[in-house]
Amino acid sequence: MRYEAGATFEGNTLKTVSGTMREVVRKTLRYATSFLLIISLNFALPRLMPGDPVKNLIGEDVYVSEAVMEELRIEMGLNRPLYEQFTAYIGDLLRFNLGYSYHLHSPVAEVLRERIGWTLLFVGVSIFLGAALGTLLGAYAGWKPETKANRLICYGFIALSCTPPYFLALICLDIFAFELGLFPFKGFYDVPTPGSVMYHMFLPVTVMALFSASRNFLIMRGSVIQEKGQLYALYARAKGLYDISILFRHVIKNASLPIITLLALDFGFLFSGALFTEIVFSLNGMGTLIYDAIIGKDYPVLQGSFLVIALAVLLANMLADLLYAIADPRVRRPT
Amino acid sequence: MNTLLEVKDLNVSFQGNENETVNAVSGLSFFIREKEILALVGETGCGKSAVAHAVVRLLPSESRVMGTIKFGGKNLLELSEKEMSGLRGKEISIIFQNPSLALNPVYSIEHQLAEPLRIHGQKMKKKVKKTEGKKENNALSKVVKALESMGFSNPHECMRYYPSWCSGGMNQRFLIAASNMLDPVLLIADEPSKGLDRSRVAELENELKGLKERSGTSMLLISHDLSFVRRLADRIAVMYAGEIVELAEPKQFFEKPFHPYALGLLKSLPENGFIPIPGSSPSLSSLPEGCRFHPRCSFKEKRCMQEHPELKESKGRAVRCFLWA
Amino acid sequence: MMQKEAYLQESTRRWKDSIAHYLNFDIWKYERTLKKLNREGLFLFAFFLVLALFPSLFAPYSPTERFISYESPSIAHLLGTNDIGNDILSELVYGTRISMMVGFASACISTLIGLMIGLCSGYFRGTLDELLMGFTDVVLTIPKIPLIIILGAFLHPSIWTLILVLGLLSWESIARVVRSKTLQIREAGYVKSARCMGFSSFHIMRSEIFPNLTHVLLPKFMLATASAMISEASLSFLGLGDISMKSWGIMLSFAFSRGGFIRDMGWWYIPPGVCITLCVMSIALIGFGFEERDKERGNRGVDAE
Repeated sequence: MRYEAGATFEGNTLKTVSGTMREVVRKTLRYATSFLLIISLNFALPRLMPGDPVKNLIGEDVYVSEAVMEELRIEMGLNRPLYEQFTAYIGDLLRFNLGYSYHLHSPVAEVLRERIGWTLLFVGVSIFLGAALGTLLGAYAGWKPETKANRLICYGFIALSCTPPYFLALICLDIFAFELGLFPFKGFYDVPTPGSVMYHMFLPVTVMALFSASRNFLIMRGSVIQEKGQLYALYARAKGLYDISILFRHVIKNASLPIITLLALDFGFLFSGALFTEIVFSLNGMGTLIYDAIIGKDYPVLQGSFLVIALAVLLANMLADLLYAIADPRVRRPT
Repeated sequence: MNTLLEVKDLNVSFQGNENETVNAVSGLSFFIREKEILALVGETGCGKSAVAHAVVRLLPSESRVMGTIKFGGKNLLELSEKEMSGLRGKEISIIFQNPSLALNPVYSIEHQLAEPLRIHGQKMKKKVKKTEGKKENNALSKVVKALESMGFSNPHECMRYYPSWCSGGMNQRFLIAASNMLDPVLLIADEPSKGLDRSRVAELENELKGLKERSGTSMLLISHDLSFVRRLADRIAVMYAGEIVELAEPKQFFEKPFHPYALGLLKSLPENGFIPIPGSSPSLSSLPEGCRFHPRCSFKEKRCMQEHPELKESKGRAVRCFLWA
Repeated sequence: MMQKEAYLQESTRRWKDSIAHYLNFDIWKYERTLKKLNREGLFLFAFFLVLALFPSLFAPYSPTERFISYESPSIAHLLGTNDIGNDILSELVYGTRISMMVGFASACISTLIGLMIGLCSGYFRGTLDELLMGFTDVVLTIPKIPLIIILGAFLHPSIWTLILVLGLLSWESIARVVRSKTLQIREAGYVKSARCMGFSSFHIMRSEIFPNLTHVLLPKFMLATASAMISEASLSFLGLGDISMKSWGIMLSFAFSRGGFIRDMGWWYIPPGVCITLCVMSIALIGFGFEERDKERGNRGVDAE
């Protein structure tokens, strides 16, 4: 019969405590490697890319004379061997020195600190709302996939997930801000009171939440469809639960486990999506910063942003692994 | 003794993968008395599990179930899903054949054992709201008691386990405990001995026997393991290709089986010479005409290939064969 | 020896079978299969494919021909003209080829890399597996789009570097799927027997395992194409695309940065966006269809009881 499909968890019963330890070591190793790779990438990019490394490090549109260039080359240590440059670079990182933006005339770290708060708030709220919306709707759509309404929702979310987020933002901005005048079409450059922040953030957050929901929805729907065919769901019915309460009491917890990993992996993706949405809505966050940096060829800012985003994503992944271990008893075992 | 469950003319069919109709069960009738264990034996794929699932109405919604299943004066097939879910787990319980998969991997054993109490306790909750805290304790002590009766010496520790931490045998006992939390009148055990080694089967036997003696539970025991059934069952029904071909008490049955198929089954046991029945059981979507066993029967006559024999009853045992008319 | 020959014949037959089965030419025969593959997706995809292959049949003008700029839609210019006076409809039609090419080309690269890494990892197991999967995990945690942004900013990409970068950075999920499938297949009887007959690992991987991977690769390839197209559109929006090859993303970007949005010229910025969405959706739907069919095949195996 259908619900016999696969003894997928059988292998886990054999897993021993030392196996868990090995898993932890492996994970730590991987994160350490990722961390190193990100840092080295950031170090290597301006030095490996075509063009003068000095130009690559200060930004292309900054005008400096030959003499100043040479001065800078010595000051930045670009004439020294690579490993010395690398140690110097690590030292700088430890002091939160991410370089100097000649465009904005201020240290990159400072610029980033100003901006990242808004973006994190924006991304955080959107991810949270998107996860809640996507998981719930996805669970319901997976529970009863044949109904017309659920099919419609499904197609809607597929369409959403296939739309570039900034296009969605453009359309929303056009409809709600330009045509209907319900929301402002510029970011919050006035005093950030909670009311005005909400007013300015509502539309972008809705767009991002919808976008994030669309991804969670599809995963959750598939997950529920798969989980509801498992034997424990049938056993829940045999215990006297019926219909939707089986979903909420038994299936949803199992089905939402992959969402945890997805949220972490998607964090980077959504973060990038948020950058584009910010640009469209002219929000005062990292997105506009990066946009301006690209136009102005302000490489230090770009590099700093990449570093910060990559580390944020790494952190999110670690958090997800931890959360997963707490949520899924199959991962942890008594010692 | 009173009849507890009476199944009459049960037909189960569903659409197969190639759009053919699969008749998993056809014209099945049997009854179970109070405090009786009826065993349903037969080869894999003869429709035993379908019977078990049909009684608790857990078959996939695509399948068609016809006939009557009388339980306590009510026809289970006519109840609404809500009424049915009130019976499930409380009066009729089922043990699935794959315990490690039947338990939810993300909830602790305690949670899952106490669940039937929570589900079926809800209706009474309104009356005894004051004693809420006491009730939780009550549930806890019940879980402990259930675990103890399943032979766990450290119930308080076991409660905190998760199914994936335990062996199949342990999960099996957890599952039996969970299914018996509310002392059901009827317990359906679907291949409980499947996947267990010999010594575990013996323990399982004792547990089921104890259960029957302690709480007077009737059982529908579904198994393909004849020696397991021999020591437990009060009556044995042999199924072949979706219908019962012989029904007898174990003593008579093992001494002298009537139906050629039952004879073949006994002969295929290791202690009786390990002689397999030639051929294989027919596909449930294209059943042979006449007696369903005739292609494999060594006693077949011309008549067996044309007419379908009826189940003939005499002196407490029944057989579906022309040889015993 | 004869056995070996027969075996070789059998394996080539299986190869051909699976290819015929998956790049199905008699696809129209099977009404049910078609349904599974999402009829809508297929039709939409066919439409875009024809646009991409024969743009000159549909575009009224050459995309570089100049007219009066910022014109509203009229009979002569169904979607108006843009800032430098190009006919937007023509641009749109010619953009199909570029957008789809970026998607498919980079998906090809990523599928190829994912296939190799996954296959080696799953087939050889052991230390190599550990290393390759570790590497995959590491790459998985690095956020793609920010990295592509920074690379794009340094490289001033042509369309080819864009394809290369997108392809090189999105193979991880394919590698994982291929690996887990390979692990399954390598335990199957026919692979074991092939090993016993002394065939080289390369031969086994090519003619035993690979044909069985096509049905997990195909949906992944489709989804990779879809996501590459979105990434391309996003990067173009930031001005990191190849301006000489006007894709839909670049059209959108120009519409946003060169006044189409401020002037409320909906006919300029909405069509390319809708085209991206529809085209990506058609590809994704086909991918989902393949995935679903695959799941059903998987179920059938254990349906025995």
